[in-house]
Amino acid sequence: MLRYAELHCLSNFTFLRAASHPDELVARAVELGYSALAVTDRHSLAGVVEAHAAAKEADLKLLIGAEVHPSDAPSTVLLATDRAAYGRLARLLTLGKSRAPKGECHLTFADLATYGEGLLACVFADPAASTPPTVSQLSAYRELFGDRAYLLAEAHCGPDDRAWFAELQTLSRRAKLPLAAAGGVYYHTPQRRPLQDVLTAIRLGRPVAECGKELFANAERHLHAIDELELLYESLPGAIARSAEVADRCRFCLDELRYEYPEELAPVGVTPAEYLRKLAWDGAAERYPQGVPVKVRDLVTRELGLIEELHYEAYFLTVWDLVRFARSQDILCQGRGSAANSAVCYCLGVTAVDPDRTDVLFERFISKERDEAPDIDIDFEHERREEVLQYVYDKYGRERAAMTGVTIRYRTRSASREVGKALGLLEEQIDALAKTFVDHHRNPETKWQECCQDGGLDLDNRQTAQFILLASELVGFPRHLSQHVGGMVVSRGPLCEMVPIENAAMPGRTVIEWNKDDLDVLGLLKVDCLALGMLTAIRKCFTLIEGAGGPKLTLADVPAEDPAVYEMVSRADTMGVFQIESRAQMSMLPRLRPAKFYDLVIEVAIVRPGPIQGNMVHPYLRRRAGEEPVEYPTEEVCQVLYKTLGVPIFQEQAMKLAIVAAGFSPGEADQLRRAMAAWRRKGGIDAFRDKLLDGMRANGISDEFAERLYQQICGFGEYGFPESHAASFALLVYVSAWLKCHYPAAFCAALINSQPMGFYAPGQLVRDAREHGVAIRAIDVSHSDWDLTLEPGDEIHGETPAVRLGLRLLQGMPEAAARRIVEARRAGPFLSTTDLARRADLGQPLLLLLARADALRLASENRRAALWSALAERRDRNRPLFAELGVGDDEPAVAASLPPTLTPLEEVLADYRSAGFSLRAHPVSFLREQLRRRQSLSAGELAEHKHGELVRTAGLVLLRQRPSTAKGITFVTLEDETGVINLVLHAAVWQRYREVARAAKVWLVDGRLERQGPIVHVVAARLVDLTSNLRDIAQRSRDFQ
Amino acid sequence: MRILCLRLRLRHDGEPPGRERTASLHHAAARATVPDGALRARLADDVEEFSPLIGWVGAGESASLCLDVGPTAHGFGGEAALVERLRAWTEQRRLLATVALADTLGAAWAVAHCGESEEPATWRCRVIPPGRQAAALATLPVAALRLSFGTTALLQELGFSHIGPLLPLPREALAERFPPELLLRIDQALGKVPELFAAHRPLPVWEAKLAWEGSIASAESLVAAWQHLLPQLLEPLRQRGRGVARLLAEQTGESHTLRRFVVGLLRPTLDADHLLGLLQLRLETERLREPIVGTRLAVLEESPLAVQQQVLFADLAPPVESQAWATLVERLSGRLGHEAVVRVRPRADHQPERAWQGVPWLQPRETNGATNGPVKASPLRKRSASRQGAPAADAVPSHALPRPTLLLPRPQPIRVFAVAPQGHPHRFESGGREQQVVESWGPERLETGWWRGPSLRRDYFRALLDDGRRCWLFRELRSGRWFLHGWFD
Repeated sequence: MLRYAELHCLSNFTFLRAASHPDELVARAVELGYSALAVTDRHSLAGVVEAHAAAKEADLKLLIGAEVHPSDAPSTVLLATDRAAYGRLARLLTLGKSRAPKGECHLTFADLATYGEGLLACVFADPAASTPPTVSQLSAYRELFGDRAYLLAEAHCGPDDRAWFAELQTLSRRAKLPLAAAGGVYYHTPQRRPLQDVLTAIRLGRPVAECGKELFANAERHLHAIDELELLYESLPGAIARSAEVADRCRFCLDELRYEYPEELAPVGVTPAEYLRKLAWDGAAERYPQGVPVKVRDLVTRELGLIEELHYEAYFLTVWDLVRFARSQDILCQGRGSAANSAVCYCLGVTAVDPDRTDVLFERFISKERDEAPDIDIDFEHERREEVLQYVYDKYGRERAAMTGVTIRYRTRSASREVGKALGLLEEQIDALAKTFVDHHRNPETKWQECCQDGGLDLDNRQTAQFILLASELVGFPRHLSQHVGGMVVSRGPLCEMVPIENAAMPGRTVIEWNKDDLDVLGLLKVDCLALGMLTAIRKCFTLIEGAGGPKLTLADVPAEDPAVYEMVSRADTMGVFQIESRAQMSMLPRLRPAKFYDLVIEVAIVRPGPIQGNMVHPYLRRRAGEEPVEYPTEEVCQVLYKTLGVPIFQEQAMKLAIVAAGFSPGEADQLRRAMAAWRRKGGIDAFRDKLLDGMRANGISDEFAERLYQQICGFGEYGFPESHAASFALLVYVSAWLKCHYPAAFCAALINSQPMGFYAPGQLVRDAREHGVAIRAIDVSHSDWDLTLEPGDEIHGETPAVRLGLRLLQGMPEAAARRIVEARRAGPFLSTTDLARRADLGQPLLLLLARADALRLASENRRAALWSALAERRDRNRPLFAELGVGDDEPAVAASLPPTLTPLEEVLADYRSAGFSLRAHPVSFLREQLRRRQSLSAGELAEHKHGELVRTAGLVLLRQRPSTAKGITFVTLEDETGVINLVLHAAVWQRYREVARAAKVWLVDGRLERQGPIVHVVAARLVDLTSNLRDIAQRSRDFQ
Repeated sequence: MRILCLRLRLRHDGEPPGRERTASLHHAAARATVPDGALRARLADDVEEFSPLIGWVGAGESASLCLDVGPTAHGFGGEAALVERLRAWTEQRRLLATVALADTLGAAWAVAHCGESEEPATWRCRVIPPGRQAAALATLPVAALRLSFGTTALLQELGFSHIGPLLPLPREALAERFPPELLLRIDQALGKVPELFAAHRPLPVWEAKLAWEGSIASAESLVAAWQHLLPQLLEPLRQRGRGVARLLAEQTGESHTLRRFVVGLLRPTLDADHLLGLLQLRLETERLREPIVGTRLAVLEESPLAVQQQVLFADLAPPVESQAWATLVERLSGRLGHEAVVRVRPRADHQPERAWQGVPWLQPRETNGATNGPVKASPLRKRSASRQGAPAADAVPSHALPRPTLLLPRPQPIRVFAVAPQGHPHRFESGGREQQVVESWGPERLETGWWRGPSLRRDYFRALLDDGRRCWLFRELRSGRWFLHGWFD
């Protein structure tokens, strides 16, 4: 049989055009016995790494290239022959992308001339296109590329392929471009043709039926069997053989890309290893002024040895450099990840988790067997992370630094929507369908059918069958490239010679075409610089404490293992505390009763979708409470699980179990982890299941335990939380809890000053602070800054400072205007509204906003009077002189004739409108009398009722939450003047009362009380909208005056 | 001035609100407010006996019919008598009405809309004696002033729930703080500033109509009536040098149903006989289904006579540029219906049978407007409307593909002999005659239409036959059967 190499083949990384995953193309090429396959996406190298990984495994020669469409020359495939040529190709694409809007690439023939060295140019043309290339155009390629230029003979059963080949032959002869056979492939098998039509339809934004000749005329753009090709190219002898010759000229393999660390990490004359050693020991001395403990000394020595052996010094230095910069700018940061919680990182200041203090042995520091890059994520204050990113760009230059890409893929919902449109389903039908599709991943087949039935499609219908088939095929297809939230790649040489770079949607950012999996495959290093709101809050809290005369704190200075903190946490008094403030976490805390740091690590990891879906939470709780014996099937399993009482809670444990219990090699365990992560998109987990179960059976583990373990591992695949991350988070949990416990005023102010972040709105945080004895003072232009501030406490509250609310709480208040007010106030208090308007340069809209918020208390304590006077401040700044003399003569008379002031309820409602909460009273308290008549209980009263009782209660809706793990249950939090009420709404109840459930602000609820220890829920059975009752009261009280 | 403001609502009981009203009223019966459009115009027409100056004020829910009854009241024997007559008028039409009569439009509107409780009553009326509008307004909510939403909300926020407390405030204090509309509306309601409203007038249309005393049942009488009406209709057009492009004929039947049809013209005309001929042709197909009591002819579209061809059908370029051609198309279209007289246009589709479509010669420039047959509400579904749009319009250059000039209406099964497996045809038998293939080109593979049904899969060949003719054959890939699909000539 002839040797054939496919030279022109697009993967689905040519978005909305080609219809096969790279690995599918590779697998099919292997099956057909091709000698090589080129993946040549349109202006992109985004798909080559996936193809490379598959080709490497299948031992297929992969050619790296791209389809390029110069504006002034025929289109061509460019193939890289060696590393240098590959670098030029990446550069060329980077250039084209930098000129064009996102997703496009503008190139000219002159650009090919600049970067064409070492690249093979395979010019192609489509017989269906109106004008074939001319001889002179082709000659230009010949002149530029010399013997590296070819003409591809592609035909797809057009009207007259023989004539087309004859034409190509003439062109080839006259332009002196050798002819090579190629497929112009868009999918690996003809069965993908309908999907390819659908992609075309999506791209054009109209139904397939209206796409007409934009669709391909037949299904010939697949990978053909070689004997078919022989028949097809009968009239072009040598064309097939030449394809293999062309492939033979390409000797480049992606494995040649080696990461080269930046040079400037260590001072001149010092090797990175020496420098890292010095930094680590210096740091150790600083961390342990009393002398480095033996345990830590040993750890550091061992880790440094491993780092040197694997040549990861530069990576640690890169991380250290970022942390050092952040620290120099007073930006709080903390590292996490397997390598971050090492003794070396503690000494370098990357993490504050003290290896001596915590009795934890962190496995997986760097895995030697797997040759896997160390993994360090660094969290920075969310408001200041950009400074760190820009530092990286400044230090290494735009040529050498860029963000990691992210491949956005079709998910169930988006796929069903787009396919629905392409098949011409009606808008309402598509909406109905999209609603029934929760993004699910188990049992895709049956789920699709169920959802379609729920969405009103007839399953026996041909169109429905097509819909299901096409939409489920589309799931997992890449859709566009975006930027990773924080992954940065830096290199020694120009990065754009490694991978094409494009401009990100966000100005000032550049993104590479590869995602983190791609980087993993190639062993390229990235550092994740993530934004974390809690770090901002903690830093602001530290600053506030110091400003109020308290100590100067850092993450590492916060006193460890304070019993008062654990006592508070065990009471679930954790509103605002990092990670453990959610309702799910809060209900866990009294059961778990954390008493030491490692308990917090577990707490952080256990309330996650992975452990919840894997059904690990309850066994752990039972064992912790001593209600269930802790047993281990084997000693090895015990080694892995003893820290967590025999229940796997961390991702590391799941992988480790696969090794010790099921006999996986570390490499296989890692494959398993990857398969889990990619499972939603590709499936193919069953092979592992059998291997796992068989392996465990062989080790004498019961089927039941094995099956459970398998389920747990499945849960981890997507939502697993590694211990190494949990430990870093747990430190922030501890620090924030400590701050809340000892500095509640500063903590409250800092949290609100860092918003948006966290789980709770300012109103709830303020209320929580008040309940902890903090005095809160209202927003007032005469006292408030933009941020919340601390003021000296009053007699009642003693030494605890009071919190003065800030202007940032006002809806629609611009920060700049607030800053002007504060600035103007330095010169002396404001005398009148006019004085304020002039000195702070405020227009009428802002004055009205302040008056409505009751923050304008200059003329009178009366909100309406303030509004009345603010209304008179028209924008005519020409008469400030008169205005300053005092208001018009008639003003006092008018003010006297104004309608009466607001009722207490109106005041409260007005507060809610401007700030979202009120310091005066809770709106529900105005309904209390009415509620009492209706036998409705307050939150406080509910606590005294028994499990299983039927109760009625009411409150203001704070939060509606429907976690994906909760099977359609909605969790709703209500609030009244005595506290919060936790509701559970089953799907049917939500459905029946959906109008109320979605829109109403105040609910009356009938339901059954459920109690687990101190935690009380109400399982709702009936909802009534009380919003209008509140409005009626406001109305009536006014009418009665 | 004495302004009467009529706030009308339709009854909910499903009975048509008009005694002898027509179908369209029937449709509206389900709604509470009087819907925009025809019904409002008709009510305004109808109430003309009470006043020479009539108009709808406001939009949507708050739209009200306002009448200046100052000049007419004494003709009815005073305001009280007029109001009584109006009550009878509303009851006849089964309308619910809240009515107010005052010196100003503002006051009348305010009282009619915000006067008392919202409970529906068949009839409620308040007459504000001349000069007493300030007192009447004082107790009304500020919303009665017809202010913008923002101003109303601001007044309420400041605690001004009613108009009363606003009136004694210094004008400057209000002017400084509120948009000008506040003082304007107050002044208008009090009568310090006049307020005008847009009067209802029928739309200027070129039309001519005729009603019989009794009813007629013969087509001849109808044609005679048209013959009489057409010159009247055409005269104003003739004076302006314009011709009829689309003409509506509307017949009112005994049962008050309307039957209408439209005739379109390829070239605008002023020729009454030609138009009458076209109308007659349509009448032959439409027929009279019941005796009719009246007919109306109206010009739906007119265009200049001189540049007609370019303006109307520049893109069509009829093969024979003659009056005769146009007349033929018009008469055929008139006789058979517009949909039946079509031209062939290419359509972008890979399937040869679907690569063309028929487009009506005479297409109204807008597809809305009058439809043939009984008038009924048929909201065009958006989807199907857009389906007709884009792909039909962009003609595809068909020269790029070798396609036969004669495509058989249906592929014709043939027996093909001496074929290399999956290869070219050598000889075939069609209609009992054997044809030798001298040379053939192909295969051109077409696989398409999976979204319509079973996917079509064919390999097409062009074949030169021994008799010199060229034909288009295909092999159905699934079954391996052969078909003849066209001839190149």
